[in-house]
Amino acid sequence: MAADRNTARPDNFKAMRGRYTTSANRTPERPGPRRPSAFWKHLGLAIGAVVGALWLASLSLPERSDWVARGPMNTGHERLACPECHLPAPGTVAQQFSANVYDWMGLRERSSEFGSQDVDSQVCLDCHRRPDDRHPVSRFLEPHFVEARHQIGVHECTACHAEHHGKRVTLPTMGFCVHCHGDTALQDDPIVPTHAALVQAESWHTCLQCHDFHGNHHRQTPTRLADGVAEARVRAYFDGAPSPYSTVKHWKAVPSRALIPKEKRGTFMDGEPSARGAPLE
Amino acid sequence: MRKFAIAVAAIALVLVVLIVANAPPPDGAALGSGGARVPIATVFRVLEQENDAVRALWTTRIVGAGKRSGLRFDKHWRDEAIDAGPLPALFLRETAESLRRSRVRLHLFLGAEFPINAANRFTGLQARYFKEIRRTGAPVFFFDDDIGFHTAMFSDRAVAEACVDCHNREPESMKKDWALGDIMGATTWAYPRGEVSLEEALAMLGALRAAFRAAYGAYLAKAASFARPPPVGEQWPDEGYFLPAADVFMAEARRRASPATLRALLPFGRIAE
Repeated sequence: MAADRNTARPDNFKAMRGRYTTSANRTPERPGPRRPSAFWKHLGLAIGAVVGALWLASLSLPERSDWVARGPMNTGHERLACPECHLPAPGTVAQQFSANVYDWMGLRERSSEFGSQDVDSQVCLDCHRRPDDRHPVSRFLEPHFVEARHQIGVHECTACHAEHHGKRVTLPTMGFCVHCHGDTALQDDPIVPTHAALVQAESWHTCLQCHDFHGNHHRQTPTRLADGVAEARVRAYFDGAPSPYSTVKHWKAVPSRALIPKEKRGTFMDGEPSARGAPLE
Repeated sequence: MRKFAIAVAAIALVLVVLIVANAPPPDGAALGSGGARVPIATVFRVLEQENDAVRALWTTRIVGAGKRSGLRFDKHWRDEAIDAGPLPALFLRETAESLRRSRVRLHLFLGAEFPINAANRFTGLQARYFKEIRRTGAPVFFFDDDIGFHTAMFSDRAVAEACVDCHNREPESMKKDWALGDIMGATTWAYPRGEVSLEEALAMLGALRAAFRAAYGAYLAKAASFARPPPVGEQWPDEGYFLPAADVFMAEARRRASPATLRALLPFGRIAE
């Protein structure tokens, strides 16, 4: 191979003269470049391992969260730290590992979360649960919402609010009301144009121009579509602009809830009787 | 090569020891939690008998006796112009709404094959299981893949003439030949875990009782707005135009439901420290 290269490029051969030892000029005292001893090799590996471990550990620091996040936080969540939603998975790491091996061997129905928990609607509700939510996700567990569940996963917060998109609402359309309100008919319909007319015209993009989906803004619902919010403003609101309904809210999210471990959430609750809290009814 | 084989065998041995020594708890249980485990079907039965007790209390001592004392009950009870309280099915609906606001992920739904309100009609898996309930009358327990919840359905029978009359008379009713004793629908309970600790079971029970109290509280709030508000205190409608206070109502509910609840949960031992 070296001979081929030298034949093809004779000028280089000349430039390289003297770099090679031959049987004629080799001296036994200088056997060539020295290979690193085992000590230096091991030291290098150890330093590499320590630096690597430190770098990996640094990823868990709050200041490095933007290095590991899938994307920018959604509107209103900018100041949340990763562990406020990505709570530690229950059990020890060894238990989690074992559970997954058992699952792989068919000895268990389901796998186990490893490291951190899946972020489900309960995590969202730890901060956002309200007594007067007009569209609480839990309502969509009822049987007659089966199609809406299959079509847009309406029983999960992330159906509309997928995180790490730097927006508020991530559904691409304003017309999602069609999934549940296709047969809307009101007695003495008070609005202009009527709900029936809007449904017939399939004007589903107009719903949110009058109706605040979760109903958390101080606002009188208009009776004329013309007095509603312009479609462009609703779309801008989806993308993160201030609320076009009202800047005054009925309820404010409290992030401390997210710090309750999952195995405790849904078991002990404030304001409700529990085994350890207030006496059971 | 021999060293490599020994290393692989050693790693495999460590892994096996790790897996066996850290055997996870039974499936469906929360990792890291201890104590006795209560099958969710047992908890559902407890909740159902609690619901039966409170519903019977509501139907007989509030609605039945209340009508004789001059109180009204109507499906439009939420309407400000109507001085009325919720009918039994709507009281359960109100309870389910309150339960939904709880931090406990217990779900309650009263559905039917032929409901008055089309939104309460069973579909999919629940419609299929309801056919079985109508045939046997026995409760069914299953895992609903669609919502990822363990689910129980208990038959809901026409136990009073009022149930039959209302459903047969209602213009929007999908079936108008109901008779006493018919299975009109099913109470559906759902929870995400297949078995729970005793503490968790008690928390579910606590949430349900809190929901009963909230539903009754909503009625008392409405009653306070009546043109002629009934006095609220120790007395019941069978003593006249009165309503029991929430504490009085819940005390009677507890008296009726607790013995059976205690019998069902006692075998699962004391609450883990």
